[in-house]
Amino acid sequence: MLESVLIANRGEIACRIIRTCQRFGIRTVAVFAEADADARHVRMADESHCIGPSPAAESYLRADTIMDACLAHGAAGIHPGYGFLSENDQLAQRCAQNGVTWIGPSASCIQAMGSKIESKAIAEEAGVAGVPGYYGEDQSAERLQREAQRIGFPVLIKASAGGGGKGMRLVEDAAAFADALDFAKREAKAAFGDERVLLEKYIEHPRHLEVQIAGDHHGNVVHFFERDCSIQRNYQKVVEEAPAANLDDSVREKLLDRAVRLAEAIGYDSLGTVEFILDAGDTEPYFLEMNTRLQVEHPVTELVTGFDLVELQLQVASGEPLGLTQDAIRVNGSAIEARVNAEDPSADYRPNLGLIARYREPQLEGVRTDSGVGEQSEVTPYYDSMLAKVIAHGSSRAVATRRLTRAMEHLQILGVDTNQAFLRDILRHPSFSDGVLTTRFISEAFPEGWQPEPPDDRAAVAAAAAVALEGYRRQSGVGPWRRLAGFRVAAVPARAGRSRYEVRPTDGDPVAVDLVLENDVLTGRVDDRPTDLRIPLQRNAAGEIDWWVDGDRVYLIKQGRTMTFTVRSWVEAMASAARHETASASDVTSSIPGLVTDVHVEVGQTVSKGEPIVAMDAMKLVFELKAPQEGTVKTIHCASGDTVGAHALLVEIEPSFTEAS
Amino acid sequence: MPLLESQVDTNSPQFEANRQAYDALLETLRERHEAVVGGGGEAMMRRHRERGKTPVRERIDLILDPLSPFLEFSPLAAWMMYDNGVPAAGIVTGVGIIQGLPCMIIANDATVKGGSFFHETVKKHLRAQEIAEQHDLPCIYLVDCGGAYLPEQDRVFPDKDHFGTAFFKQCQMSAGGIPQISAVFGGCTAGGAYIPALSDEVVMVRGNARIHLGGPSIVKAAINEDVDAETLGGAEMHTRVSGVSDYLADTEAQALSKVRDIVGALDRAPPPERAGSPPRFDPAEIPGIVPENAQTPYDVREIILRLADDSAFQEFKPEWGETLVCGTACIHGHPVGILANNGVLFSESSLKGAHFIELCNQRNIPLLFLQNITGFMVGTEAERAGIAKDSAKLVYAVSNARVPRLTVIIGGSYGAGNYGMCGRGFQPNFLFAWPNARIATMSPDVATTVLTELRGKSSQRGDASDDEMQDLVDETRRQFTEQSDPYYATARLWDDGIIEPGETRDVLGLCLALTAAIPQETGPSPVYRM
Repeated sequence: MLESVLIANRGEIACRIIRTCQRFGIRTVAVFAEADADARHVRMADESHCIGPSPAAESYLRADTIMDACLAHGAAGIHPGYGFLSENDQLAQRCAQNGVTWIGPSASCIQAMGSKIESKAIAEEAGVAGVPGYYGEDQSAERLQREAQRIGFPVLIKASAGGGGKGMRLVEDAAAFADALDFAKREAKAAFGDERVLLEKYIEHPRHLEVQIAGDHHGNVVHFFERDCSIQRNYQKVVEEAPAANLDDSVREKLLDRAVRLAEAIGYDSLGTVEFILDAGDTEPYFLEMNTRLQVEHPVTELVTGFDLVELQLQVASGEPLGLTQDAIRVNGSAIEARVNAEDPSADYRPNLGLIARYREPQLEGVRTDSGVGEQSEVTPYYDSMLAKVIAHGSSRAVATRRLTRAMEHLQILGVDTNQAFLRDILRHPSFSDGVLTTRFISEAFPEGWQPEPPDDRAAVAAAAAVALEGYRRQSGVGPWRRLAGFRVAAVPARAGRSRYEVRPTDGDPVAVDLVLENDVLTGRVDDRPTDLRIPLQRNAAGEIDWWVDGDRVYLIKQGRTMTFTVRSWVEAMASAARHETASASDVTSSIPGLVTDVHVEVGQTVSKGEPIVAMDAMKLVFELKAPQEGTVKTIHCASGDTVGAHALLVEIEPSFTEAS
Repeated sequence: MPLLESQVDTNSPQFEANRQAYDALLETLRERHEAVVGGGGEAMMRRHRERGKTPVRERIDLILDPLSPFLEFSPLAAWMMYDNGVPAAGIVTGVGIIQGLPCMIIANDATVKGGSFFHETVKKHLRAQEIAEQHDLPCIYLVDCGGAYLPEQDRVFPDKDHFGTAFFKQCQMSAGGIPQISAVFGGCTAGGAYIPALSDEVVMVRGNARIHLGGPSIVKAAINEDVDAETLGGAEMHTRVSGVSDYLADTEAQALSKVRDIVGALDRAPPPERAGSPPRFDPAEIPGIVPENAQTPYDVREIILRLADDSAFQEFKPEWGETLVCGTACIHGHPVGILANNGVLFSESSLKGAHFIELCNQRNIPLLFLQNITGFMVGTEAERAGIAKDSAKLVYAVSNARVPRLTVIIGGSYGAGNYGMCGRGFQPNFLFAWPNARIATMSPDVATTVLTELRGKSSQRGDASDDEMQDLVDETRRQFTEQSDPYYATARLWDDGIIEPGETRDVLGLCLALTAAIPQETGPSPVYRM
């Protein structure tokens, strides 16, 4: 095997590759962008080198700098991970030119499968059919009708120049085709000035299935069975599993057989994945594309087959044969993976940024966590929002589901909100355990969109209690004035000591919480409403609610659902309330964490109400922050390129009129 | 330290009977404590809130650190006095923690007669200041009072230990480096004005707080000036014009927060702490041990082992002078020398007590007196043995002890026994009573005997008729029963409050922790064997 490997990636996958390398005594060289200087993969590797500024285009996507680093530090091979340069034949070619081992398929394989159109043609030739359709120049009604007949109904008519659903028409049967075609053509003409259409088989209940393939330089190809990756949001996989549930053996045979056939046809010589789409209930899977790299979801295959796929990758890259026959690969039980992303599934998966204040992986039997972050990791706007993958394995799908659900309840990532509760709710949903998974799963399971359970009064009391007990313990000396918390002479209920707090949820109005301590048990009232929560003085949790206190910030974790509160003593909150009220009206603050991309104004400039002041970018979303009222720019607290948190004060504006006092 | 073992059978019918009888006493105590929490009553509370004002106990909860203990003194002051119309004497006093520091809080309750001062109000105010002075506790005055209650002015204003002494003490404490901080929530007229005026730092709440030596009506009478109270002495005027106040707060919460900031900046070290361990026998069992009939003797060690850390007690001279149990123990980590009555005081028990006090004095161990005493022994034998000079030795020792002294009246406190066991007159640092306590020169029975005999011998008044004698018996019994009642005592501030047996250990622990802050007096001191 190789003596040393440079990992041209970051996050969990870099860590995961380093782990296998370490197992074989391979020296690991990490590369990192400036934002990742203190990242987990950097700390794990034997050595690490900065390859440029934070934006990926200037660092992780720079084949030249990476190759320079490889040569400068004498790495014998490069592992590209997934994403970034993993399917970039240029880096593969550079490796070949420089005598560095590329841990991936040969450039020709990457090229062959790189283009969607070309790969489909190659697959067709190998007898692996794609989704039936008609893309021809002959636009006569008769030809189109005939082609539709051939494809089989229902059929989708799409505008060739189209997009956004314009000119798209779903045709259920042959009789309705002519009218629908007419309509689609007119709409296409109106929308795009081009009435040409194409036809595609309509897949009503799409299942996303894929086959793990491995080949070597000696002409051997084997498969590692299939995965079901149907649960997706915005075309991104969320939950994946192996093997696919509720799949006919005959269909499975077709999948595996076709995947191997395609891999053999192109002389595939590394790890890869062949993706298919299958209409649930149908028996014919259609080829979508081939990914010529390690997949995010590869661990589910590893857990059910028992192979280390990165190990195989290293092995074949260095020219060794696979040394495996197909019948040596078997499926044992079931494995499910959940992708934990720093995002808000209740707000279009808006990314969240920030510092991870507390990080605890689930320590449970049959659960594996592949993570790229830890305590004090900074989630920056530069890269993918995936923080970790949690994968559970069990003797059956039901066991694996239960284990992963529990793992989602146990995982603690505090400081940056994640989709953890959403994942937990997917796993708990009856359709997940009962049904056949399709790409419509999320919209069907959560027709109104997913919302986390709102913080209730119990949560507010728990948040206040967390701060009270934290203060009590921090200050806690040994003497009676510290130990006898809440003591009152003749502690009749009416004179029990009360501590009042202002508890403010992240998105919501503050409430007043009164805590009363009697017989070493805390109880609380929220805006004078009683709650049934009883928290023993010595506990560090309230029933099913765990907590973590970071200054006046309280994170509650209730079965995987994280809630953040700001808690202050009532007098402090009241004392500072007046100051805040006068400050907030005219200032520009960030609504969400993100990257400041432009500051449009200068100090002293007069602005009108609604004028754009600051442009912000949070991953793929662009925000223009506007002047809340007319005035003069007083102070600017940010500059282009700054990463700012939510509710950060960016620009202060002196209002041009003063309110009558 | 040797561990004590309890001889009490908590499953015995006797225990159960005692407990039930004591529970009735506790129920009365709790009812009365509940009753005074409401201050001047619901209507007054509502008016108070409508003015944007917070009830006094809520103010205290808000100013203290979360979960801080609050050791309140004499909550039943003025109980059943003035037609029971002055709950808690219109003032709440006690020690609590602010910014990590124990502070004395002295807070007027404006819902009780406008927070004006009755005789007991002054007494409670002074007592709180005295405790603060002795234990070096910053004083926080939450001022909301209208000065002296004029119909009672002769019992409030002119004498020593009347209102003037409160200001005298403020001046003296300030000079002694004990911070005096006031937050003003309401009108402070005349005498009331001097509480903030004599404070080191003052916060006033806009709108409600007022300070003036003479209010608008006095101004009108004196110099014929028409002026409203806000212009005359409002928070804004005093903070921005006169400088009487140092900080202007928009709300009560802001004022309380400001006081917390001031205390936080005092830079005083909190008192030293010691770690204790709970007793092996539950203090909650004490009600089953104290006999329903006060005349029934019981072993006071059963009480001690339910107060002491780990129920450990190093007994001194256990086989001599057995009617006074002496020995050292710890309560909440603080060492304490305990003197507890276990019968009548004889010459021997008195001498033993004096000897033991000298020991503690030399070793700097605070003293705890557990009083349950009918008095010193009488009779020829006792007098011939010199009980008068031997009991005097105990009184000498009690009076001159240099260590902090705490007293709990756990039963009777009669006659000279009260003196020998450090009664109120001997100025212990703290004195509490249990609800079964009785305090008087003598019991109603003895008093009746003495008085009827005196009447019988009276040569001036001639022979008494049977009716007259019966009236005397009835009247004497009524008077002594009423006046030896613990509520009669606590109403008049003869103690720092009635506490439950079950919480006595905690109260003592808090007090001992405060006394630990007092600098130790050291110097040569012999232990005279007696």
